[in-house]
Amino acid sequence: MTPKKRRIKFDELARVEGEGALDVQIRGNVVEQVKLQIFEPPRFFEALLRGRSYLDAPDITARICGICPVAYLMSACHAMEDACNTTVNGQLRALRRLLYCGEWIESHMLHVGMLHLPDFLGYPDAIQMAKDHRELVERVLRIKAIGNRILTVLGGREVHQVNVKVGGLYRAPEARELDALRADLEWGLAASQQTLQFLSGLTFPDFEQDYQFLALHHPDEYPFNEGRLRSNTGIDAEVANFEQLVVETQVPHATALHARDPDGRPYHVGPLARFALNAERLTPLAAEAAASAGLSAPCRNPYKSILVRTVEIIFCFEHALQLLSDYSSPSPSAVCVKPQEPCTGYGCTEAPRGICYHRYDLEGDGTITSAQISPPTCINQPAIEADLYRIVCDHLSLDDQSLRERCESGVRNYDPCISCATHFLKLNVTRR
Amino acid sequence: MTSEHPDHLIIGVGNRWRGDDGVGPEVIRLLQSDVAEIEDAQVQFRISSGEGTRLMDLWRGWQQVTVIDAASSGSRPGTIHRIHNGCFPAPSPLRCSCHAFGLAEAIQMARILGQVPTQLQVFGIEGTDFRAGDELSEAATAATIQVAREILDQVTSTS
Repeated sequence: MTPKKRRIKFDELARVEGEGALDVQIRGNVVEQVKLQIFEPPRFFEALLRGRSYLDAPDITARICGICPVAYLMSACHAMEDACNTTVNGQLRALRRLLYCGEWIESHMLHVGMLHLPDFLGYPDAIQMAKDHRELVERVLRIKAIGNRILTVLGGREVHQVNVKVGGLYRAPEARELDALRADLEWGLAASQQTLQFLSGLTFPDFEQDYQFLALHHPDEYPFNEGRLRSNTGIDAEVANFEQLVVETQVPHATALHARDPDGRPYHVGPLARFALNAERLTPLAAEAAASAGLSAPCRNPYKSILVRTVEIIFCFEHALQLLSDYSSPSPSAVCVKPQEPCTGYGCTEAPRGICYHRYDLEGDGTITSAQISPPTCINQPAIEADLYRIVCDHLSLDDQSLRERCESGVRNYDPCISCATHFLKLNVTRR
Repeated sequence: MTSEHPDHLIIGVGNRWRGDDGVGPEVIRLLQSDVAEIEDAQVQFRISSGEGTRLMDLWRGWQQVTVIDAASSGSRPGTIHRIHNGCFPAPSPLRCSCHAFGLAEAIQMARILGQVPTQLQVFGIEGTDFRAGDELSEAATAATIQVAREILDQVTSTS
């Protein structure tokens, strides 16, 4: 007798950024297929950049995402500076790290407190959760607002910042403008420590995977803007080698490219990867908080990414306070970056969701002739599908609705930005 | 709630590059062009993408807030939906992306947290064409003028 086929189609994945679907096909007790379907139309940013000036790339690519525009601003700037053999140092470099602190705080806190936490506390959404956890939600919203404030002070506005340019900033803030952030940052540091303490009491599923973590690694710092590509499988390479290490392919069920290593193994990028490869670079209070929460590197339980993200929020507040203490307003606010001949530049920075890679080929006058952009969600897609396969295998006895909830929670572990990858979850499960 | 800002905050929600989604920013533009009439009214203007948590940040501490946003309810294009305190419909469950934490969800969350401005009114202008571009439809244009006039009458009569 042929085993019964069961197909569960999730038409809308909740609480992720962008729109996608999940199609699960089960025959008897065998999971035949798990596909994360991404069907948002491709946006052709790379083609849009051809023929534009190298100076336009940061502002154009920032429009790829409203949650993590800083990642695109930074990766584009670094790629252009690399193409022109220019390095941005000193306080301008520090301001870029402060800008990234703002983005990580804002993006991580939105995901931790509003999108991910309801899974652990058993609520359908943050609004229902707020009825029982008012003080917690108020705190989360205030922490997030501080991230937005950093972005506004440095970038001119909360989203799609307008103050960032190749070589630095259009205007560097005065020291007093940054000092005005200090009280909020001190409050945010204590509030994020308190939040991690609460989160460390959550119950986490017993689930670990043997991930191939990939992240930037810097000799002196927890990575934002600079470093070498490093993995727990032996990779230690210049950013310029990214395309040899990360191979993108088109798959029929997604408008976003899938990325794997040359042998076809998935990578895992983002907070767990950064923590696995850089935990020793955390600031003292962040490292202490991680230990208190029971985290040690590597952490292979994707559900505990909620803890690692919060450790990274603590790191951002602590690091931002240090940057403020050392700050003096730089003049000029940008260095001259200009190509002299046809050239190629590579940039890779750590978006909240993981590494964001850019490559540009330029004419001698700075006209872009080709562009390559690899966002973190493209890289994480095969790892998400591998997690989902195991989740379905582990919970075959569940009814379709319960299985759907398990799968959605599994996707949310990655805080995927499907808009960046092209762009949310419809789940189709077929049981035969 | 206690008020740090005794005056009137007017928020235009939307993207002026997405056709009728730009009605909120357009009403703000119209009001600001009448600055002579409202300069004594102590009004402040803001433009917002409509992301819910940022809306809550914007109106925190304000007593009187007006929000103008595009609506897509199936009503006749250009219809003006006027919604006042206590009459806001509950949003559908937050099922979709973080993009779906918008104005309705922000009001619901603010209500739970006790952060709704004492006087909050929302003008929803029914749009018809939300494709890329900076032009409003004829119906939406007429409605923005009507809404701007109503708000102007309110702020000048109370100043």
